[in-house]
Amino acid sequence: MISKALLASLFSSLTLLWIAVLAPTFANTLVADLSLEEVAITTDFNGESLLLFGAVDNAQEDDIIVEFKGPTLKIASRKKEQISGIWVNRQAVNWRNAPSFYHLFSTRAISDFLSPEQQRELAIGYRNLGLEPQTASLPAEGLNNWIEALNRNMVERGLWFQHDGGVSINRGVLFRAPVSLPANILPGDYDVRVLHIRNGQLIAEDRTSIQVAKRGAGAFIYRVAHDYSVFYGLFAIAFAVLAGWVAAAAFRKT
Amino acid sequence: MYIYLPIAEVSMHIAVVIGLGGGIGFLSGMFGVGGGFLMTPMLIFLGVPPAVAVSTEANQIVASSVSGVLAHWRRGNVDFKMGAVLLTGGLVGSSLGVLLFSILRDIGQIDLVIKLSYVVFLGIIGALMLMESVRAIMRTRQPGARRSKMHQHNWMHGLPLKMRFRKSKLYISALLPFFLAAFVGVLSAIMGVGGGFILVPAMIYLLGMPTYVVIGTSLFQIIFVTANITLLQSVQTQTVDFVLAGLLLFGAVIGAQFGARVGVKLRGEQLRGLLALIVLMVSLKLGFDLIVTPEDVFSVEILK
Repeated sequence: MISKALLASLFSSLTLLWIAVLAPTFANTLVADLSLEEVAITTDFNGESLLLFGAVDNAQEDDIIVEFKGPTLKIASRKKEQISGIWVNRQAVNWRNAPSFYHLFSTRAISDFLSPEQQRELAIGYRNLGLEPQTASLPAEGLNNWIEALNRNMVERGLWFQHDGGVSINRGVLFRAPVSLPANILPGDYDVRVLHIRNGQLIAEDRTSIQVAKRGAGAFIYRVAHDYSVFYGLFAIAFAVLAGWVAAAAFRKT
Repeated sequence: MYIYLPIAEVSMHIAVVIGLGGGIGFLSGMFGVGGGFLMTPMLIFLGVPPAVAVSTEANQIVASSVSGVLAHWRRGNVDFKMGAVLLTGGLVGSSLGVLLFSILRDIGQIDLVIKLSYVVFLGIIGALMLMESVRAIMRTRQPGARRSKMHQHNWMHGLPLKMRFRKSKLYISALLPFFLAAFVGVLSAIMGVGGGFILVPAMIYLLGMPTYVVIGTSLFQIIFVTANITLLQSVQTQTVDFVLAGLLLFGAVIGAQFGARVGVKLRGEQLRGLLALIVLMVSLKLGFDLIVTPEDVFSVEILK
């Protein structure tokens, strides 16, 4: 793993050197890349670290934002209320398009260089994801509390995260942001957006993406469980019966 | 070494999984219980989704019940006729339970119902066991005290469809074991347990079966009930993680051997008293979770 990252950064440094040499000929260049082409969820998967890196033009005084966004899916938010002493889920809001993963990295606190309006225009931050509730009857209190609660819960699971200072710029041309994907990420396409901000204005932008996919024996088991579920169920039973019988036989003498 | 569980979709340290199986296997070997009532809440506590915990535990109980029933079978302590009636009820009940489980999951109330079931049923059984074992310990200190009658005749003996169960030395309505097993089957599917902790006392005190055939017969029917849950959950919700079940089982088999050795050194009423305390503790812990103000009243579930 370490050697892979090392190789990647060595390779990236060479690329960057080349870009840095050519850069002055283009106005407002921004090029970003990732140290991995794919994240494989294998049997021993316990999260993955990767590096986002790239080059910009004249960013000595500027800021860079990196947005790492996972596949959107349905997420249910629920609010508990106390009913005769017991806490029970009452109201629920189903989000139809919430990202399962949303990590935001920036050179410093985003509110220091972008106003809330500018953040909204650039669709930056969990408040500007354009979350759409599916629920017919919306909570009377409005959705703001619910969006804040969704963020709290997702941050606690390590799936959403905002890292001020997570991007560093070297000599105004090279930038890097270490990204760590937790073990509970879901497979799918992850989109990366990199923004170069000067005086509250978007100077340049680049996008890239990476696939997170299940691989190996675990992926095979998952596929069988979903595509041949009857066979999988019968196999699980047969496996249990055999294991139980073997266990009984092995310890019969003792 | 971490292992990414393919169906649970969580990464756990392999020593934690096998250790959990070993620890609970130790207790189940010591007390002669299945241990599902400890395993399922522990799995949920460790971050396994509740649906996966319940289905996977059903799969593991198939194995531990097969392994347990063999010894009873060899000694002739399985009443197959009674077992057949019980498992008919158990299949109906557990199928209903699986259906109920998915409905409750869709409306976001499954956690509440799992916890409430644990609080109510473990609470009742634990309290009864504790009282019984305290009484038994007192009785051994006062020799000469008499045992009360095993079972009396009441309304249950007037029910139709009477059947003779030779091995159990009973002539009772088949509806009784059928509905008993159906009820326990529903609980099995929702709580992720074999249900022995309700079935065994009910077979002794409610049906009046002789104690020596009760364990073997209940294990016999639990195999079919948990196999039914395994199959139904595999087909409907794809939540059976046989890798997790296999690792837990591996630990449990070894743990149970050590537990059984410790168990024989303790007296029956002491064991039952100790088990009652553990059962009550699980019930109280889950009950406490329901009444204490949550850190965050909002929760989130990824539906996919």
